[in-house]
Amino acid sequence: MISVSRRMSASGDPLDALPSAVLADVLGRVADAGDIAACRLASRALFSASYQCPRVRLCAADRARSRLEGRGGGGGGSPSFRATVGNLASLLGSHLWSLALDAADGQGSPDDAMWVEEGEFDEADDLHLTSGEAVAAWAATSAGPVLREVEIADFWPQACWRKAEALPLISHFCPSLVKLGLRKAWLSVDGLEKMPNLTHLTLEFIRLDDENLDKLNECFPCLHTLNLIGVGGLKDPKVHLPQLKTCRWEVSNIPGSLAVHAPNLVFLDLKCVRPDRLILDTPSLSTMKLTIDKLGATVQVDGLVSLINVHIESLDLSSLFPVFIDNRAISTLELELPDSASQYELLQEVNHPDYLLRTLASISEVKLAPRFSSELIRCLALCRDNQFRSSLKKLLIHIPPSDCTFQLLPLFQICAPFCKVTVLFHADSSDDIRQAAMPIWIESFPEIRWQWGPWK
Amino acid sequence: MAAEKGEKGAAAKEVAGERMVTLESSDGEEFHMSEAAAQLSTLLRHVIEGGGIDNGIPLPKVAARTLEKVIMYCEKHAKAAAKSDSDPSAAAGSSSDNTAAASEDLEKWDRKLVNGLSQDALFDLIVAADYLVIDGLLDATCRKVADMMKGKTPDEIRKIFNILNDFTKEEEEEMRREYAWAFDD
Repeated sequence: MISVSRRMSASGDPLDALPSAVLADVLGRVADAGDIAACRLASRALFSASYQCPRVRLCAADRARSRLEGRGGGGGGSPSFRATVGNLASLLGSHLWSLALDAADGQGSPDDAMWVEEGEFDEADDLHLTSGEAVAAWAATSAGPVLREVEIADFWPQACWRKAEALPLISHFCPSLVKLGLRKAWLSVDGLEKMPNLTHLTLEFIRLDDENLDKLNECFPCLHTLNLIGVGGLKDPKVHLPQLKTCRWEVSNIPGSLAVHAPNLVFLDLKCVRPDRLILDTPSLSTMKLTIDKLGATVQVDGLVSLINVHIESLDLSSLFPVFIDNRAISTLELELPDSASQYELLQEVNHPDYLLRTLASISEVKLAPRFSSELIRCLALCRDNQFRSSLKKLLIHIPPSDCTFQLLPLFQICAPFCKVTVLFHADSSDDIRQAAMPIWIESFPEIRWQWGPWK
Repeated sequence: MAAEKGEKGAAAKEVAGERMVTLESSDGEEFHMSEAAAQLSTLLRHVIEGGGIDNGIPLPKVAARTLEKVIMYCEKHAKAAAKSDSDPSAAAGSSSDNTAAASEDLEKWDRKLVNGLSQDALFDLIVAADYLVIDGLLDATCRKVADMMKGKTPDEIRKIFNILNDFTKEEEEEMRREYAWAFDD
């Protein structure tokens, strides 16, 4: 640390009025290392406070871009990015509780690596931030034991082709860690130690050498929040976490089965393709968002006794409704179709459109997203039966930009008395269509409370 | 409840069924604040719990114009919290949109409060929030100062905050060396 006295000049540094701890807090909110450096050069008060800065973010994007363009990163004599991070961690030491490193910004994605031909890998390691050496540079300083939050987004051209020891090293050097996020890397779990303080874990675009998540479950037993987004290397993954409350899991078609055993889980956002086996042992789950191509042959969801809010994005409704909707006390249902769904596919999928209407009528609040709305409207012309009890108290529908308003009548007929219906007209819809439809609906359904709005 | 300035004598203990506390600013002005609002300050909460507030609570580090803003913030947030607690639909899943909207409105109100302050008034409010340990107010005010610094050069920062550059050449050189070593270039 260099010594620069915090003396008052004649006109003073107005920032002198603020306590050093508060200025350090401010710098922690500035966070970007380059901006903090500018602050230090601007003011004695900020310079002094900077040594207590609790949060720093370093971005290697510019260096990474220069590398890929062949200009080379860093000038002669200046430390490498990895060394800079280590130096900064040493400088801030036990004041530092949040560190974010980004070598990924704009540098390709894991999907690209599948087709990367020889020569497009980067054999250098100066930006390989999840390597053992890179992690030890900052984790083995006096900052390691006090760090509470760490986020690393690695440089994919250097990280994709070699296994890295980030997880075991972080587990060893950073026992106080509460929040950890790792992106765009290949991670080993050999030597991973238990992290009882870790409550938030995000792994995004990661190849993980823990094919069934056994090590993850064993070493991170106190997780409340788990985000597994595009995590590859899995075979039959099981999330088995007793304190988990929130889980976001986006998985490819490779794993044959998916299982979640989490007695305290209340929110699950699951995006998958066609798992042969899906097990949800989650008795406290109240909100589920499910994006799925097709439900497999084996589904065990008997324990979903608390489920009340369901969001489904799928065409496979004939499988999903009996499992997740029918005979359950669902109060809110949101429906959307996949991007890839073509016209009339919903009609082909749902053999009896009346079943669809009957299901919607059994729910208290229904939200129909744009693609689903558009396809449902096509189905409504074939509906025959609307004489059933309705619980529908709130309905939201997106009208596409076409003259289909007369086809909506069967849908409004299933609304319960005093149902609140929100109709969103596409911004490109003609005023004539809107102005013709609205009075007819209001007159035909006097008990419905109408709201109108646009969507795009 | 709006702050009521300048009442002398015994502080009103209850106004319209709400318990009130009396605060005295550094320049001798008296203010009244609901106890619910006062609870947002860890310091005031401890003083209230310890009893002995009959003659008011002196705040020698907080001037009247700053204390007025502190009370505005605390009363606003206490009211919002009370409204959220008493709303029966707050427990229902479908009202999460309402809760998010209310939170956004409160954030907007906070931003309007701090954006309307001069630099001196903002710094005084930060010092008061720190002294009174009002986490939300400290958060809003520090965020404002941080936003003023982001993306700026040293000269721009000096201009914004009216800081005289009195670093010697040697000090600047050493700082730039440390800059490259630890803060990247």
